[in-house]
Amino acid sequence: MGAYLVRRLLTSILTLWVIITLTFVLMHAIPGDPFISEARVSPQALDNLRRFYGLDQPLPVQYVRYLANLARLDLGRSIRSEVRNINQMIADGLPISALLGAEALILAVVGGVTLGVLAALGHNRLLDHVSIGLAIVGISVPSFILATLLITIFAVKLGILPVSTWGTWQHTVMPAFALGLAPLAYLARLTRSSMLEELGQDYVKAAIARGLSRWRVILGHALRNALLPVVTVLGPITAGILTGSFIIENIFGIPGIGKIFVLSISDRDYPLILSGAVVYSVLLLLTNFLVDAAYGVIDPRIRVLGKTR
Amino acid sequence: MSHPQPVEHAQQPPAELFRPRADAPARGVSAAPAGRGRDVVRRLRQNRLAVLGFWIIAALVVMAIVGPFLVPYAYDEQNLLEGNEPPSARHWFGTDDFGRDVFARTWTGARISLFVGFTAAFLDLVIGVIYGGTSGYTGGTTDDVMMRVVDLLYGVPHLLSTVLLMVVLGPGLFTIILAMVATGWLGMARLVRGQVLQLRELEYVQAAHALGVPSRRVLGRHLIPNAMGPILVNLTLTVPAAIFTEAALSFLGLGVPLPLASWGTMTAEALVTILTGQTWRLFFPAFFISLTMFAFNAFGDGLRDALDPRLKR
Repeated sequence: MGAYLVRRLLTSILTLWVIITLTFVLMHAIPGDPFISEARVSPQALDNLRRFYGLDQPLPVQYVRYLANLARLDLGRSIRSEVRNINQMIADGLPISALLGAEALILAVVGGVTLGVLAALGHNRLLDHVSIGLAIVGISVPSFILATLLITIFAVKLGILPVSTWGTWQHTVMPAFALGLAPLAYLARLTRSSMLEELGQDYVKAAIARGLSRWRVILGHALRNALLPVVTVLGPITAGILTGSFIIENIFGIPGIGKIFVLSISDRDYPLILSGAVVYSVLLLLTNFLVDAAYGVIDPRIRVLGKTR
Repeated sequence: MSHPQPVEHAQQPPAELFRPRADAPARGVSAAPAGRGRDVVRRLRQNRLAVLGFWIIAALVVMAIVGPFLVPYAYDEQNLLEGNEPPSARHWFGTDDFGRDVFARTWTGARISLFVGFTAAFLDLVIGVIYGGTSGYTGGTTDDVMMRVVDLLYGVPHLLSTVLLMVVLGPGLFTIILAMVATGWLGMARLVRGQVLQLRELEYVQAAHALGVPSRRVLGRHLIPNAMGPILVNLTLTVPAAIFTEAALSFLGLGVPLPLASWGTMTAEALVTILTGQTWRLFFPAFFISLTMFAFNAFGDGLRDALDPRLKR
């Protein structure tokens, strides 16, 4: 298990390096530079600007410098934004995005697993229909459409939630729901089918025959095994919530890193775009690493085989 | 090929047992692949959601082709005197703030969505089959190296890489497809490689090799038909994913350039109507994009269940 995790960590770092390098090359493959549009700046001022951002250096020098700065956790300076220091911008935006992402993830996992288990138990045909209906909505309605729908209903028509921006917990309700509904629906279907499969296994019948209480069998035995496929998809689901925040934060005007990232793209603020890619990749690779580690804890077979696939 | 010799002293069964029953399905050995295909279609037709999805897709394709011709307005034709009109006999889906016909724009959007979806899925398939097939069939070090490359790139979230590439490539219909395919083929390559590796080891494939069936015939007769199922399912589910990505990019202003009408740009332009009340401008693109996503996903899920009943969810 230890060797596996170490190898997994090294792969993640390598992937991160590939992403950084590819992004760096891509950003510098664009013709012109960020100051090209500033027509009114004198050539002397342009030269000074380029020197200030290190853009006058040859590319390999810029690249090594960038990597060295990254290693010191210095993301550099933004070209367009008022705050300028990217570390500061990320430090301002990240807690907001993290809170929103965590809310969406918790909503998706808790809601999805609960709904899936209840639907699998089949006590309630209504719940089964609800989970199917939710799955259809979750798979069909893109998050940005769901978000506009929610705003129309709850903010404009009913007036019970604030339309946009950030501040109180009421501001987080609609964005978290818009981000979390699709993964919730997916998890509900996955949990349901996986739970149905486990409930049909012999060990469940054996446990019931031994006289264990129904809930103990369902929660302690069947659910534990049924959760394995759920844990494997947590990585992709987190990725979906992370990238989904580009869109959702823009609709709701939430000052998180998703909004910063998209703004940096329309502003052609290359250092900020690079930093955005790096921050997102680190978050994602970290999640995938944690999911793999968690998978090893839950499923002892992986520790023996040392492989997830 | 030699058949087992009948044991001489065994009692011969009555000859009538060897005649096909009158009600037996007419199916010779050579018709086996066709029979399998028929089974899949039969199971697919029993799945009401999948059938519904199929007919919605068919209707969308037809409307994408003929829709823009049904009204005497071009998608980018402005008429400021008829701006923001609700749906009527003249403008079936109403008009937007520039007086452009929402019906014409909606079906132009359908063309873009379906074109992007089908093209991206097709290119993913071609690259994925060539790369994954080569990797799986060659095996050894080549396979290792090829798959490590895929693993490294696979760690990048799809929307992130697509957005970054769009920054470099600039807005446009073909740049979107290019940006999506740049990392979109990775999943298909993994799938194809897995299929080839798995099928190569199966006994009937080895038996075919051992019996001297030429490699090409093994590939065409056994490997490809049996790998087709999961590939087809993946293909069907790639289409809505690509359509979603295009809409999301266009929604963010990174997609097709104006004045082209994509469902994503139409939704973004209509956001303001939440407050001003011309809800039809938001409703039509939002409705049709959801309908499209639903249809492809329902059909793809149905296809997966039909191809492999054991995987029934």
